[in-house]
Amino acid sequence: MEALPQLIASAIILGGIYALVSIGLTLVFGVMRIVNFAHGEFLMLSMYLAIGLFATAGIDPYVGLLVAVPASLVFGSLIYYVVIRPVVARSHAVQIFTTLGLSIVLQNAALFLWTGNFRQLRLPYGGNVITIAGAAVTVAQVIAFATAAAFTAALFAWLRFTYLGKAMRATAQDRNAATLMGIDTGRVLLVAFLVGTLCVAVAGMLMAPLFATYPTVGLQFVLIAFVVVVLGGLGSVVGALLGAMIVAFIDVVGGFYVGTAWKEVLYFVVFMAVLLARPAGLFGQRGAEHLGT
Amino acid sequence: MANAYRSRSHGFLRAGAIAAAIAVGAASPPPATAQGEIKIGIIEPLSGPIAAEGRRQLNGMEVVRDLINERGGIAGKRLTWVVADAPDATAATNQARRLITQEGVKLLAGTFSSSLCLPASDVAARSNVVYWEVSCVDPRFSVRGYKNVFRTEIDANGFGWYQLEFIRDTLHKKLGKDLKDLKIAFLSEDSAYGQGTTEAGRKRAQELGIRVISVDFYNRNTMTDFTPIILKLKSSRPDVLIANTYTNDAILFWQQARQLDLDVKAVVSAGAIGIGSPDFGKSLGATAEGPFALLEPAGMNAKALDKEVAALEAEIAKRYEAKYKEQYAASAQVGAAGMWILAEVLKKTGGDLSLDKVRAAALSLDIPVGGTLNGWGVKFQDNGQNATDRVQHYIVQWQNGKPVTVWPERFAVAPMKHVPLPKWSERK
Amino acid sequence: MTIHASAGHGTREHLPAALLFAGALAIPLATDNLFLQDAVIFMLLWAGLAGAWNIAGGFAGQLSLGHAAFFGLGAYTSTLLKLHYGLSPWVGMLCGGALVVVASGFIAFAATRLRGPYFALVTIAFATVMQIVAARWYEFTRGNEGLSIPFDPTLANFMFVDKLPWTVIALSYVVAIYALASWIGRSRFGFQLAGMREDDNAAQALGIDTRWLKVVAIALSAFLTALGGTFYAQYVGFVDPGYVFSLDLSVKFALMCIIGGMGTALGPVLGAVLITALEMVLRAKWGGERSGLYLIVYGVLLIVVVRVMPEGLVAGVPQAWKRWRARHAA
Repeated sequence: MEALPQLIASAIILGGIYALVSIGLTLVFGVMRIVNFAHGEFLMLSMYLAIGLFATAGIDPYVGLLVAVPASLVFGSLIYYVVIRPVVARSHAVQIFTTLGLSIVLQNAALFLWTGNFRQLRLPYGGNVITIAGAAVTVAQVIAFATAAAFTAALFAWLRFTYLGKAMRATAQDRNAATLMGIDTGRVLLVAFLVGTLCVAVAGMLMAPLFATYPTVGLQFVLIAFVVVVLGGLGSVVGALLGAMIVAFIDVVGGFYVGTAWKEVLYFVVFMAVLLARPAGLFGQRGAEHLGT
Repeated sequence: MANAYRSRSHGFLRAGAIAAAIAVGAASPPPATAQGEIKIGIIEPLSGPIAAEGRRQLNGMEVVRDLINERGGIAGKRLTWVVADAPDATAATNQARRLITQEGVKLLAGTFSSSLCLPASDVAARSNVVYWEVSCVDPRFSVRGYKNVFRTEIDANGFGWYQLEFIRDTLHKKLGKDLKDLKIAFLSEDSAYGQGTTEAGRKRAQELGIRVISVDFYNRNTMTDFTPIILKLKSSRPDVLIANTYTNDAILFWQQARQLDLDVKAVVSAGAIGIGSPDFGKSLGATAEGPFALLEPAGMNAKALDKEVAALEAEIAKRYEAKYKEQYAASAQVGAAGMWILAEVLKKTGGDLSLDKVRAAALSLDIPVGGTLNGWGVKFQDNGQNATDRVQHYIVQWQNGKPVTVWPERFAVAPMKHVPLPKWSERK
Repeated sequence: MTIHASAGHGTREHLPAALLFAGALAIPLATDNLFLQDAVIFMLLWAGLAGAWNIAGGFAGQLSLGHAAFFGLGAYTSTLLKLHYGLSPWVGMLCGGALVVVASGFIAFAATRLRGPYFALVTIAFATVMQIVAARWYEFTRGNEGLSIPFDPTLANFMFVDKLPWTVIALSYVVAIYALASWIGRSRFGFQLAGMREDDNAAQALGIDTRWLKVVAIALSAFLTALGGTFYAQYVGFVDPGYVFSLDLSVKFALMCIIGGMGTALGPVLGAVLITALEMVLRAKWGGERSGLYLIVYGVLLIVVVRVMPEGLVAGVPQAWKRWRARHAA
């Protein structure tokens, strides 16, 4: 039982990281109805950006956010116009294979450019340990969690209170109706995609000090993100938060009690059970109207 | 309708013709081998999740090849090769066939991973082509009754054996514990490599009467937090942790061991990946201090080596480091030694790659420990496996950001440090 | 995605497929180039698997990305039965097929509750669970080390030295699936599937039991996929969870079918031939150079092809051909 405070602390931090990766995915799906299989590769690119900034210019990844945010907007727009927009009105099959193709391209571009070697961004102070209520956490973990939480809260408020945020939620509910109401849905789709890209860009900068970076690192997190967003209900920000916490707790607390060898089976079983019992996920039952609430 | 129908049918025929043309293009007859060339095929995983080490292995072989060619080649002929990328079993089968049939090579070498070496060598066996494995550690490779397979590196059983041998021979004494009082725990990623090495080590521990208190497997592709394992280890308190990890997970594990203050007396890993990879030291810097890895040597006591070999070793390391801007280590060393031994065999056959000649020459090779690269010796058994006691393996320790050979003593370049490992709080 | 095949009943409808099949059979007879023979056998195997996927994914519109689960179960069942109990893989193949029909019940159940991307994600999870179980059950499956099947060529062992029997078996597999798909295309069953695919609710309103349709289509598709799994295991002689249950493989089945044309008999065959040839050429040309280059090209081509021919080659090629002729006639 003495392990419990540490397990909980680790799970909450991991949950915060999963949430940030998942929220981007869930927003893109909620608004655009596209499952972005290249989401993990966006994360990978951001982690490489963090490594590159730190190695070449000594820029701390938290300062590097100032570079990552505009970079992600430019990159996101480019991908949106070149790859995504032409298939927005197409079948699921076409959309899935377009984003899968994109994922193959980005993953191998990274392999081509930066080799398959593993890299770790090592902050001089990042590994320093803080003890809170019997749980040891590192500075990098605390910053990652706090930033993720603040970012999520801001996003949440933006979706709730701004015109664009409301327009996004309206579009998620019913794209045709939103168009009839005079919402420029084309623009809203772009914004949703950019917000999704932005989320992983931030996540990547925060994660680079915590996890090794390599060309297939995105896969490691995107599969978890899929579980999270479906658990929470595709399109629901609150659902993604809750789903992320559930998966993280299974990972850490479940891993402790049933063994790490079987923990994935545990969360995939929970995943399938939830989905079959509540097909729209925990928070998706009333469709996408719950986006942002 | 009929018209529309005909045009559709034409379209298919055209598509069929194009596909056939592509297939035939891919299957053009093997190019003639230039006079004065010995051409072989290399299969390595150059894309996918193990690409990093596959590439390093190829690089190691390349340095040796260039050196051999500069020095006049093999029996006056240049050694050349065609490289194929094989990230999975299907590709390995397919690429082995392509190299044999399309490129006309009579010898295949590679492949880093057991899901590649088993199927690829099957193909080679059915075509009577020599299969020269430099690194996959699957024990099944050499027990299938094939006459065409050779492996210069030890198998997973060998890894498990050497790991425990290190503990039996010296580590337990340094820890001041009898073998029967020693508690060890295994932490292992679950791919063929980790699982094979761990199961072999576990068996060997049993034979030696060493108590194994836990074995934890995990999937390195989904392992994002080691808290559960570390907390368990903190309460079970093993003396020695055998960590058969891959690389991303090794880095994460070590960071979290520090965060959670995991206090074990020694950590021993195996192989060119994980703690043994140059990426481990590069990623962790000063914090990497202390763990052991069972590996090829990182520096060697020159007295233990044949003089010529020592010079050769140094030359290859120098070239590798100049060319690839990283330390000449593990994966590259295994590739380099495997290629060098192959060259020795081919010198005996006069560059002839036919199975009978190569087999006879390989089996006749008898080099004592210390007689070739990595301080290895060579004595192929009838099944094509190089004898475990000839393929000397070393314990390398991370000291001051560099891997250093510390065991066996006669090869060591530095004494072991940090036994037992200091508590994290007492480290710089 | 309309059912073109039902329009022309004549033999000419099957001409392209017949030519492809004849070509496949001719290759092992005409050449002793092992690589070419091997390429044909893999093309046939993938064509069969894409065709099997097509029954659930194309005709029934259930976009599964978890068919590797069935493939892997088929491969593992026959292999384990052979290695542990000495059972002939021919029998093992049927056992695998039977097991998979039971397992497919889960996917079918999911299909009755979930649609579109939700369904696709559940199928991914399902295959992943199978992969983990195969990887963890070390005593029985040897985990991620995989299983190696000793090469012992006899008919009963489902292993042959010569490529011809392999080709004949793979070809029979593809022809059977092609015939089945052609039949579905003009049967009542097929029209019901099409109705369900276009509008599930409307089909139900017309009195079609769509739940039962999904169960049958998915079970059939899974069964045929499992047979391909056994063939793969026997032919390659090695199975490991990391490959036979992988998402890559599930994606491959679907991809070949989509490129060729979903819901058509010919589509999966064309898709498999094209994708396999493309992979081989790209890998042979650039695989050994800078890592990843050929996969970048592959990914770009994938994006372009699904955009330019969203209905697949079966619909797209004739359209392009028509346009080309129109332009040149003018």
